[in-house]
Amino acid sequence: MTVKPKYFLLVISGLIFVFLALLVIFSDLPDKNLFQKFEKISGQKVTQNEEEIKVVDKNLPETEEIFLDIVSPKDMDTVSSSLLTIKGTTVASAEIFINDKETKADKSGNFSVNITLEEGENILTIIMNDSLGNYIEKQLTVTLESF
Amino acid sequence: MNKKTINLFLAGAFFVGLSTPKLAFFWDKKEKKVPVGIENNLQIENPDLGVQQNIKEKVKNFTGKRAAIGTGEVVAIGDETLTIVKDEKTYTVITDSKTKFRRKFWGTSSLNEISINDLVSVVGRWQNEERTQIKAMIVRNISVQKRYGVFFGVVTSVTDSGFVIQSAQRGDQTVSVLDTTKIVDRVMSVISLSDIEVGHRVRVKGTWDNVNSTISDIVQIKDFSIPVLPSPTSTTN
Repeated sequence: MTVKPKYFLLVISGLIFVFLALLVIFSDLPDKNLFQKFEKISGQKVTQNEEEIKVVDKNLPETEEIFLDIVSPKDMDTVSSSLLTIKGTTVASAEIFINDKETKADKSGNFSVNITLEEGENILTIIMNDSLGNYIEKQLTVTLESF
Repeated sequence: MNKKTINLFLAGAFFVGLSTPKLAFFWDKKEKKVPVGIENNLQIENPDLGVQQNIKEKVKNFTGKRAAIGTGEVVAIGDETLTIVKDEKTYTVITDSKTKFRRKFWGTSSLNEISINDLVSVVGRWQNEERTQIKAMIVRNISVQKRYGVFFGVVTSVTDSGFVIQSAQRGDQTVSVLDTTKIVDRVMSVISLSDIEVGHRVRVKGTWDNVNSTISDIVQIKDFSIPVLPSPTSTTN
């Protein structure tokens, strides 16, 4: 049986396309194995997207769904003042941790924390947890250019 | 152009597109900045600027102008200086009592914590026209990845002096408890280390060392598994 060169090229192109597509898809995925191992050991559910990681215990009684919205600053903002106020909303009375600072959200879920930035790129790790230990972690990068 | 040539061209374009998907998708996000060194040379050597503007540029580019070197490698360490290399260019970083040393996650550091081959970024002011000397305001050691904060996990083993937690995004972390560490339960009642058991969900407040997978200098541990909560599957009659 002879295969026409153009069909042969078509098959090869298809295979290369599938291979490259799989390479692109899997190269950007988070470390699923680590999450699966954690979920197996802990009985907790891990959800991750580009913005945040959320860990909720599946074995606990149903509670209000946790969330964490940062109103300001936005990721990759550049500011000229070293004093920065981080504002956001989350579930009522949640504990909030921003780098070395901590506070508690009010009954409406609002919170505000002042931090001092260093010159250059600053990584802000913002974490909330509810009273049962379910938590969300976010990271923002804010750059200070003061001179 | 015959049909065969067009097909060949399309096939070639298709392969280039496939082999560089990120380039294709994020073309508009590519950084288009001219490197600082080249930019300066262009400014200084460009005859179109004229003599007067050329001198003005030279004065402007001399000492005192903001300097920033992102992620250079330390090749030598002196009493108050660092020699770093970035993009095959060597810089002398001058430090003094006003220089702030920071770790990757902005924890306080010092010159002593910097080692040869460490990656550092520097912000300061240029000290010479050639832009090879910087008086540093901030030296940030990217290689020292210690961060103070809170870390969540599930206890997988317990010892007399601490325990190991499995965390969702950081894997196993060894937690060393101090005499001064405050240990509380979910409702903030004080408990002891012996109350913490395998399977408990905890929050640890301390300094995380990414390289050694440890959490040390622990200020507080909160055990969310005490007091025990009813399981969602259990029913009451």
